[in-house]
Amino acid sequence: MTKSSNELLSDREFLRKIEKLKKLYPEEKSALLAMLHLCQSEMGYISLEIQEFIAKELKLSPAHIKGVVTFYEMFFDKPKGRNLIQVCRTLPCMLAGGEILFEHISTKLGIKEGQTTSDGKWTLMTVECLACCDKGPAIMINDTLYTRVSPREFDEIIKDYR
Amino acid sequence: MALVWIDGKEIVVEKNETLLQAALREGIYIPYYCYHPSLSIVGQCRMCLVKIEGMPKLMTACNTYVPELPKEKKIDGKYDMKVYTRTEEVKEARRGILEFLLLNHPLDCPICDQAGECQLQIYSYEYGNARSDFRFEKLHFPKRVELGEHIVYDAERCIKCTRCIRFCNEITKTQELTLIDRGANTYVDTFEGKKLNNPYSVCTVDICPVGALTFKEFRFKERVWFLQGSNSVCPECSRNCAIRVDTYKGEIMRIVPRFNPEVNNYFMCDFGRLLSERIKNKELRNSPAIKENGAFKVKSEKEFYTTLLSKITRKYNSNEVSVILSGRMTNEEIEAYKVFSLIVFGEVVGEFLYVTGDEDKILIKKEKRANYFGAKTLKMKFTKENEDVTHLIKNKKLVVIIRENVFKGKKEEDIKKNAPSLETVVTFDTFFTETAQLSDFYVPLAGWFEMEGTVINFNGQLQKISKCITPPKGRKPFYDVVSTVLTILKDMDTSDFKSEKTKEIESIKKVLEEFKNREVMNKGFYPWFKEVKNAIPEIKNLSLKDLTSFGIFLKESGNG
Amino acid sequence: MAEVEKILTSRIGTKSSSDIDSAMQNGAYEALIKALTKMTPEQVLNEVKTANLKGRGGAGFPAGIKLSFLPKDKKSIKYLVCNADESEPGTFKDRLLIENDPHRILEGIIIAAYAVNATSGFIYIRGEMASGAKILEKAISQAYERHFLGKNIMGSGLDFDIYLVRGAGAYICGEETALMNSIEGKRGEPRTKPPFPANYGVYGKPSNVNNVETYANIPTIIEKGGSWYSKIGSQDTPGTRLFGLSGHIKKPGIYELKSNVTLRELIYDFGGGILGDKKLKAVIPGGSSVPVLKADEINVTMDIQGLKKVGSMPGSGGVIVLNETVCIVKALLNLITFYERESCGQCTPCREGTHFLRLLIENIEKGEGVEGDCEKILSICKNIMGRTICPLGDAAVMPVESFIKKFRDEFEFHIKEKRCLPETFKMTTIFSE
Repeated sequence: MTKSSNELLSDREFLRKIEKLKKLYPEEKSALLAMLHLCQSEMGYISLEIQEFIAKELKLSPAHIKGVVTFYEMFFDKPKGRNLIQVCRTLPCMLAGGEILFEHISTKLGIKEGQTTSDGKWTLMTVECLACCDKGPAIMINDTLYTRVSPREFDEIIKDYR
Repeated sequence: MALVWIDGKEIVVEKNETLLQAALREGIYIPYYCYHPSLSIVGQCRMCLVKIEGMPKLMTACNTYVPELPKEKKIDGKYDMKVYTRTEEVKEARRGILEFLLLNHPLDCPICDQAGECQLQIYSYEYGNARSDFRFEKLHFPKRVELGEHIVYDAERCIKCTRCIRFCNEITKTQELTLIDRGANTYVDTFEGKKLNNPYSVCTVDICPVGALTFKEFRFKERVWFLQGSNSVCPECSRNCAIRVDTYKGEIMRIVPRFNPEVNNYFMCDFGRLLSERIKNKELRNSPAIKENGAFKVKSEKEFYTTLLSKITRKYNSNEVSVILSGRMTNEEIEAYKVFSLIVFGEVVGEFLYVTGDEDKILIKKEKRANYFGAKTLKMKFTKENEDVTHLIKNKKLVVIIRENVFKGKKEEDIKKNAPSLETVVTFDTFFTETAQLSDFYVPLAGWFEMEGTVINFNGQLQKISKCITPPKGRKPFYDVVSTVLTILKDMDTSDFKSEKTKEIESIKKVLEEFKNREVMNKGFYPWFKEVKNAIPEIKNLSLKDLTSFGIFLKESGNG
Repeated sequence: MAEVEKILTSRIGTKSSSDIDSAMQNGAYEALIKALTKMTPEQVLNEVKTANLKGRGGAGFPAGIKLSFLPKDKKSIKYLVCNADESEPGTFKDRLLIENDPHRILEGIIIAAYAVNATSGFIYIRGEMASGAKILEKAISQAYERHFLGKNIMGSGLDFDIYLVRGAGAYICGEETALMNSIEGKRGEPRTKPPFPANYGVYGKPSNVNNVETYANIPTIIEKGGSWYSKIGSQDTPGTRLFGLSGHIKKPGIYELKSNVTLRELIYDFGGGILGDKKLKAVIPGGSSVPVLKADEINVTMDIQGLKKVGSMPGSGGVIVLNETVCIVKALLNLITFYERESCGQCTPCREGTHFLRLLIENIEKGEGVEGDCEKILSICKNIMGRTICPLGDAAVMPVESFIKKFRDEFEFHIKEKRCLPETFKMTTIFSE
């Protein structure tokens, strides 16, 4: 989850996955997002060294990779907390009580949007519509979606995370 | 090919041409930012919106192609499209776009380096609002970012037209730049440690329509409206990129590429552009001088040339003489040299240094002298490629060097070792170079930007250079030196030459006789240009007026 | 009440509906086999055209006609793209299909591929739908195992592969040319048109992009015939649609209904009425990008003609209900913040205009608005509408313009009184009771 660039670059399993992704699509460059997803899941973010590595693998310029990494909200070019909480802030979730939930989370963890707890456990973000508007308020913790989350449920949910 | 009605005018739009391109070609001005004729079309700035009859929305002229309509569908019986560029709706759209562009753009024009040549200023003046309704804090972005060695970027002034990015992707293919982030937070950046340092990097400054990208060596040096621009060409290789030299009070402030579709399009390399910096603070002398007891003594023109001529004229056998010439000489200087050589040596002697280096597929050519192909056209001889100068002066008694610093990095002993018998070295050059300092006679010449002349590029394009700055009286183009020599010789007693060979004196007299009634005696560019015309049959009847800012193509010259 | 037809959700709710065996027990891939064995590609395309199937992504363009824009030859490379980048606020129908009946989507894509001789297909799924991506991945590999994908599918001579691409958090990638750029590993910036995707799409090759729900309709069209399909429900949007009810509604969820259902029926009969038993204040009938309706504008059918009467559009079928406790300024601020954040930033009006709009609306919401702000907002809208590279600009403007025009009094009240309407002090939420 939080490997360093060097650890990752010498990880055979990782390199094998990269090779596999390269061959997955009709053109190599289509593997870029998939590679970035992979790196992010391994490192928690996408370091400059890794961006350069991917650029070389896909014969793209490092600037191109940087442009892509900064464009997509799911990619981080700087380290974040071990767990990412994304709270949907869009209208249907707001109507369901998303703001109340967000306030609760923010108070509970003692961080504001975009911040990381001092122990590095949580990073709190808002996210736009998660496409489960009938089950708001919705949040995602890492890759897991939680719906109809009440403040009390949230407190239960986070007990499972380390 | 389609016929388009545009604001009451009829224009033809070719199949592979956009409405904007056709309109601009026909002198119908439609404002734009992101469009650039050498780059791909992205339609991002939305400034070129126009009204097209039958279309519900305004359309961007930059990516509108005009298909030919079948006869029965033609508008007004003949047009394939009807376009309005000056309706209220169009004007309002332009006002709207400008309002948007200025929302987060600092309005500190008085202290912006781009002021005076800023497309935001220009369009705001023409189409914009006089006031701003934006009462919020502007977004803040990085300022004074050194994107490259010569490039400073102000992201707050950037309008995200992406011309610079496309330039690096499509022209140099070096891809240093990218947009980062998105939405209103978007700006241009490089990858860490991979700066914008390609050989054409400063072209991004030229094509930046606003003050976002500035040229480090020029920024805040002078307000652009005080600059005086003169047309010239770049002397650093045989491409001869068309340039404009911007000067202020006799000093060169910057060199910018000038559009020439036959030569360089809109661009030039950084090396050529930075010539303006390389010539700064170089040692210059303003009068001819003779070395006496190891030190140069300035002489009057008459005394100098009398001494020089009596010392070298017809004194040596041709195998004792080496004349080293330069592709930095203009055609007129070369023609003048031929006369000089006839007088001094009785024949046209001398070899042009064939200096080569790296070339690329963009603009930079192999031959590192501007007028290599001019010299070729004028049938001059050349050394071998990058030949070592020691080889050229071996066992010579007289060495004459024009516009080359052949002894660069050499000491007197090195030269003596190669040519122990060497008696006299004569150097003609703009700067007081190492070669000049090792000479017995030194004549300062006008520099590339200090004289008029013509040159021929690798492709056979003949272009004119002009006097962008005026040199002090003592520094002249080589053709003026030859005119001076001719004038002095005319009054000289040929016995001054102390030659016993009367036959040769007769031959000198013959040359003088031939030129006595020609205009070249009066100095200046034009009479020598006529000599060049006489030497190149293809331009025999060319008048200076025919030389547009693009120059003229010579079939017989260049690499073919 | 409109009769409920189950076309798209017929298998949903059955046991392990996303598994190929279970799906096939309930009819999956029968239409594909029919198409491959009993029909020519031209016949398949004609059925889709006859069905008058309208795109379900939001724009409602006829899918058959769109498919027929692709070059007709059999040699050139052609790509079919399935847009599963569902992220329009209020829209959650594709998630239902992806997670519960992925084989219906795959079957639709493969049938379309046969109709136009496409060489490969892409499914571009929203990055945040991690579980959906896993389900699709599994479904694709199952389809390969059963030889519904790959070389010479079912001996028909059709070679067709499907690639799954995961997005990474960008609403704009739902725009078809941005989506194609994203597939190519680029920033998700829409392309200027021309050239159009049918000529210059993924990797510069002819491409066709359709929404998940659109593809999911195709098996039934092939099974029962285009003319059968075209007679279902509304003439301008035949077939059934997946309407998503969210917001202040008692029974939120997905409802598969004919599009001649009225908005009133949808809210009160299917949705069980307004949450908190409050009065209806406003309803956004087709995803956040379509103009909002007032409470007295719901007696219209949910098709193009019906919603046009009240100045709106069916869009993506996502119905967001707002009761009287909602501060309309705050609701609009929420929406415009979404568009500002999701603007790709390449074209001027959208990049700067959405930012300007958010600032102005935020200011009104904070009680710092000044007289004339509404006019200014409308004039900015005018300068964005129709002047951007892609439809995101229009999508941002439509809610803003309609909110201001329909609830002008509330905006002016905010500007004048520097506060919310009293009835909106405490907004209903699911936590209210």
